[in-house]
Amino acid sequence: VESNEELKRQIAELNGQVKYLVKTERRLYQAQTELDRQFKRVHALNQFLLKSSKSAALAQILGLAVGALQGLFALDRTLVLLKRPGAFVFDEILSSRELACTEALHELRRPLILTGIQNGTGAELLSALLPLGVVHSPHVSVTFIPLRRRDGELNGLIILQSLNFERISFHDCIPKENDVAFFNLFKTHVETAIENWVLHTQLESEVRQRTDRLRDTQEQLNHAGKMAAVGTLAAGLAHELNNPIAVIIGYAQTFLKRSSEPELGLALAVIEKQGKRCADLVRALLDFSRKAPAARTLISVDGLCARILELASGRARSGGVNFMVEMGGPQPLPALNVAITSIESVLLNLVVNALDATSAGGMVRLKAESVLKNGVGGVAFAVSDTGTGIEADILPRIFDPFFTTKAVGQGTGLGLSLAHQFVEAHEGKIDVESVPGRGTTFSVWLPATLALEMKETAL
Amino acid sequence: MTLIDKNILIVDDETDICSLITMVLNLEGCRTYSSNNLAEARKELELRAFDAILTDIRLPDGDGVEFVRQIKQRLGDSTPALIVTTGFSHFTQEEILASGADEFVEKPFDVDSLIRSIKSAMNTAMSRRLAG
Repeated sequence: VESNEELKRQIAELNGQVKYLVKTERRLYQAQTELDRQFKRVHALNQFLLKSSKSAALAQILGLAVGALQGLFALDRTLVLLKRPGAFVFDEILSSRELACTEALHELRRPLILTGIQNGTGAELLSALLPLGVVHSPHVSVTFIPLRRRDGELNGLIILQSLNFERISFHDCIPKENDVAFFNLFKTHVETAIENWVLHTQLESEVRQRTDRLRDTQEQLNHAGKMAAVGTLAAGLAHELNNPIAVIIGYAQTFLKRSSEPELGLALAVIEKQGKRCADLVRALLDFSRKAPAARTLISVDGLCARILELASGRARSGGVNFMVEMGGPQPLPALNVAITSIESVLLNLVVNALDATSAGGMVRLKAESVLKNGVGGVAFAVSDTGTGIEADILPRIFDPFFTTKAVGQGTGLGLSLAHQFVEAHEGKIDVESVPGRGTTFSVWLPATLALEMKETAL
Repeated sequence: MTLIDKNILIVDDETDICSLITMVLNLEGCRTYSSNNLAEARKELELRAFDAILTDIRLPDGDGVEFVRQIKQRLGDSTPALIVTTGFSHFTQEEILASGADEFVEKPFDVDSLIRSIKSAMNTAMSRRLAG
């Protein structure tokens, strides 16, 4: 009897131990599963950090974020929304759909997991997603992950949807209340990745801008170098040429007056005319190479334009081109402190070129208006024509000395080059826009006030 | 004013320029004397009186601006002097006129305007003489 009792006691003890073992074993298994899950999450976070740091595009970073979540949770739908800057609207990045941002969505600060039927704010948030086809029912779990900038501004939103009743076996993998801490950590990582991407992009565009500016400077330097070389050459040449030209013109004029033979008279007239052409070319060269700064005078833009109209209208009439001057803009035009002959020759050159490029019946317009450039007040002149236009491949060369498209003997190839030089010397800017077959517009901007002395641009 | 029978000195190292101006002025009735350098020009000045002097700036043995200054000092203001030169020199137009030159003619010149300038220089000198 005693041993029987003893046996029962031992069995009961063993039973208790077995139960304990089973319980411990279950706890161990749970711990193991939890550890596994945590490990997977840490791994997913690390992978995201690693890959997103190498991504050049924002969409790619967000894609990696969604991918990481899909690896961890049973998700039926994932939506990534980016908030449009300055507007109360989201854009879904994978489709062209947009979603109005509601007050409730806008106020979301921490990740939020909603399971089952909701009331109040939860219901409001879920109904806001209806336009994107996110439905809610007792069996649906919806996760909101708001993304914010460091200054708190809302950037975007990640939405995860799980239809849990179809996936009972994956029940563990459906986002639940206690996953909020993880989602919060994940949110911080995604926000940091976006922040880094923004900084990276800004840096890149800054580098690009600087490179562009450097290239511009290089081009300007090249141009200045060319101008200087031509200037030196021109000065020497001009002196050597003026004496022979004086002799040619002088004899032609002397004998032209006393010639009674018509043929000889014609020949002498041609010699005189050609001699004067040489003289003009030499004068242009000398203007080009002249070092001495021309004296500045205060002039009115109206007066300047009137003078150009007076000088060019004869040529316009003979070419059958309609030439008009427009004094535009709501602002009164400021006076200019300029070397008159230089600026007159700049505008006249542009107008004459425009008239030459425009066939009869066409139109050339000189427009002047008050324009602020980089905070400096000034006058913008525009000379536009309805002429032949300039082909894109020669456009970069038109300001080069001796570059001309006019027939031999029609142009010196120095006009635009000189215009460029004169405008630069006035701290101004000259630009050209052209559409072949449609016409060309040259724009010249000159500052109204000039503190600096005229620059010595040529050697 | 006419140029008939006037004595005019031409100083230029380019012989063709001298010949041209000589022909132009002879046709106007002047007597002309040309020199290709300053030494020759000074000799001419010792031999006779001139009604006008035309000189280039860049000459083999000196510059014409300094030459004009000396003439004006030695012969007084009454001798008209003209600088006939190319547009390029290291003198500004103001410096040239400050030497006492009465006119500045830029090469290449129109024959008619050269004659006009000579007449105008002689007129100025004449009125100075009457005033002074």
